[in-house]
Amino acid sequence: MKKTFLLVFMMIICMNAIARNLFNFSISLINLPFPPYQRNIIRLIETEKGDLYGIISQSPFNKGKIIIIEGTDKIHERERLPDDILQVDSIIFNPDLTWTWDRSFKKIITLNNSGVLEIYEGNGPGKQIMKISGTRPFEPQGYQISRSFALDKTGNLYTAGKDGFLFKFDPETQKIEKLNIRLPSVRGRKPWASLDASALADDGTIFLGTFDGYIAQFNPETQTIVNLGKPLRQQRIQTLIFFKKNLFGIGGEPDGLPRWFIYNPETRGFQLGGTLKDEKNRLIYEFVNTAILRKDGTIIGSFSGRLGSLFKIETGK
Amino acid sequence: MLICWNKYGFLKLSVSFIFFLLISFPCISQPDKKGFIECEMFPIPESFHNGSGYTALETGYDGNIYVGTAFYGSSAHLVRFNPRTLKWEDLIDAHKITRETGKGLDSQSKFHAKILVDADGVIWAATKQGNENFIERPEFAENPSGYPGGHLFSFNPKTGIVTDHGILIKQQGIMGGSIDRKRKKIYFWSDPKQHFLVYDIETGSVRDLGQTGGYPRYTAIDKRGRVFGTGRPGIVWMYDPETDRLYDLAVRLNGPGTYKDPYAMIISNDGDKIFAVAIGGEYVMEFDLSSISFSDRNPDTDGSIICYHAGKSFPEQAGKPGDQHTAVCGKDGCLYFPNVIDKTPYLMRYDPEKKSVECLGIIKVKGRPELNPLHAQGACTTKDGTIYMKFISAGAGKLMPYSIVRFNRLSARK
Repeated sequence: MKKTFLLVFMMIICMNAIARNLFNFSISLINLPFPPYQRNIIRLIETEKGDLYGIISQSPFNKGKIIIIEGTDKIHERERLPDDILQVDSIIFNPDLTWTWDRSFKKIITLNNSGVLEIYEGNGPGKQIMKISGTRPFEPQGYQISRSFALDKTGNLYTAGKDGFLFKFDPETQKIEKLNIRLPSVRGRKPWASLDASALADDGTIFLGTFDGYIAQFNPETQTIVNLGKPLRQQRIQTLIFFKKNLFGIGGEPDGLPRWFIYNPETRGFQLGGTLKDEKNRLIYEFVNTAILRKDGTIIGSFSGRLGSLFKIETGK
Repeated sequence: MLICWNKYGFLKLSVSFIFFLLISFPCISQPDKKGFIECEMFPIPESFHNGSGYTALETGYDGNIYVGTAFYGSSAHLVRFNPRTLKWEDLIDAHKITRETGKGLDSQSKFHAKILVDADGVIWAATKQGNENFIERPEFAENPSGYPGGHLFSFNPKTGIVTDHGILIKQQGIMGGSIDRKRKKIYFWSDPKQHFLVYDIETGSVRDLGQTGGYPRYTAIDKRGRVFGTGRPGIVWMYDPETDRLYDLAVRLNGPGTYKDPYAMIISNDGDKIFAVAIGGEYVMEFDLSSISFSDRNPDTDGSIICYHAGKSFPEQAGKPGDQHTAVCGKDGCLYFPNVIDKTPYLMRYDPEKKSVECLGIIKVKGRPELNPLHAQGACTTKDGTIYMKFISAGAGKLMPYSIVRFNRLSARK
């Protein structure tokens, strides 16, 4: 009995130590040298060379802009993205479109507000592939649009369409396939099961976050999905990042507060971190637009809104 | 005073005028020779609050004083004080009208925003959550039955009808408050997310124009309908109804000292300037609205505005600034504000014509010398230049009851 107690006690100590290491991060906010309404970074890209670019969305007061971020104090506007990255202005500055590049950055794949998947290989109109999204019950124009594409290790893209079904799209062959797999949802909420965020793990597993706040684990090889549950009471998964063998996520509704969590695939457990605070212990209130894991191991992302800012998370060694 | 003109009219007027002066002169609040200024105290009935209240204080066109109370953990009230009968009347019990039953942090426990009076005399008041935990915000979003969000109410003094116009923004409280009587718009900002809200009185719709970046107690509206408030550090935001957008203006300081973000911002009577004071601020500030420039700006702002440090905000003998939570523009065009330094409440006056600040004395309650009114949270002026201030139940020595106090005709026109 004593041995069991001691064993359990030691396990708790070890788990706490691991958790402390993971939880030991701080968020620092980076002010952007742009006027209000011109600070809403909707996409971050780190190039092969390690250059970090940001795309600021268009607004009634701004045409949209491209910036390069060198450290935290040198943020400049740029005319264009690097030549080896396709730039279609009507797509990349549009805050209402879901879009991504393919693995080669030569093509842009979009999901428009009517739920039609399109592919762009240059400026000009895109090629329509297929209507994949559906409408919510009793809302004939209320398309439930996924907000993310997931990329697997071989370059295939995945997103969710009508009633939460996953679609697989190969940008090379432009072949689209509706999989017999659905994002998790409770009964009656299938029409709301769109893809909000995704992250690719080192072993090829894709983690998916849904509009209703569920996290799922998808194996593209076996085409199986496991519902991992709903870590937060709130809807929406704002961002997912896989790092250090763990899934880091921020969730919550746009009119609520962002809250973070960590999922450990080994223990299959969630750890909830609560609300986000900056280095001065002030609450962060705005929705996360985008976040990426940089090659140096830091997470960089952006908070939305009129006074949008960049944030940097040091995750500890 | 009734004056009848006849062949002896001139004589009658003179007699009446002298009589009026004789009876009214002792009633005017004036600094006495010992350095005190007396006010009359009117405690707010205890059943309407638990000792506190904020900016919600205004004079109605009916001459009554409208007061919003705080009742932490329960239901805030909008009450009315009749200066003629000295009677209080309960107008709005927030929970009774909204049928909400929230407790603790989830209750409609403050009428904090400035009470606004429309051209037709209708009174507008808005609620927020109370006793906030500013670090964690446990009332916000975690619990679906948490704080529902602040309500906007109107009260029509002519009909006595109270209308609940609903929650303006989910789970957030309502702060600030300016009214554009010409455009029929009301402006607030939301707490805690600091979003600027535009409420259209005619359509009953509300729009969210995004983050302002500051926590101003007051917002000021100028004669062009532009609304101003404290934004990010060193920045004043401005809403322009012509372009229907918010601008961030970098403050360019003209004068001595260091700029401190204002807490109370008050529009001048001519609508051309904003007077301001800050908590712990060393200077009375004057923002020149004609100085707004969109060519001179910092990289992260839209433009700039010049702020003059008009004079020291505290009496010379005190030697340092103190707590300045509220201010009001008097009928004489001067700015009146209390400044509490080392638990001594000084009443200060800034004269924008002379560009001078003077101390009118230490505030004392008439007939209650044992009371020390320390924390004025709201202020308003009446037609005759009388200034009312609202003091919470706190203080050194004997506890001051939560009250409004009256400085009779203190700011009557010069």
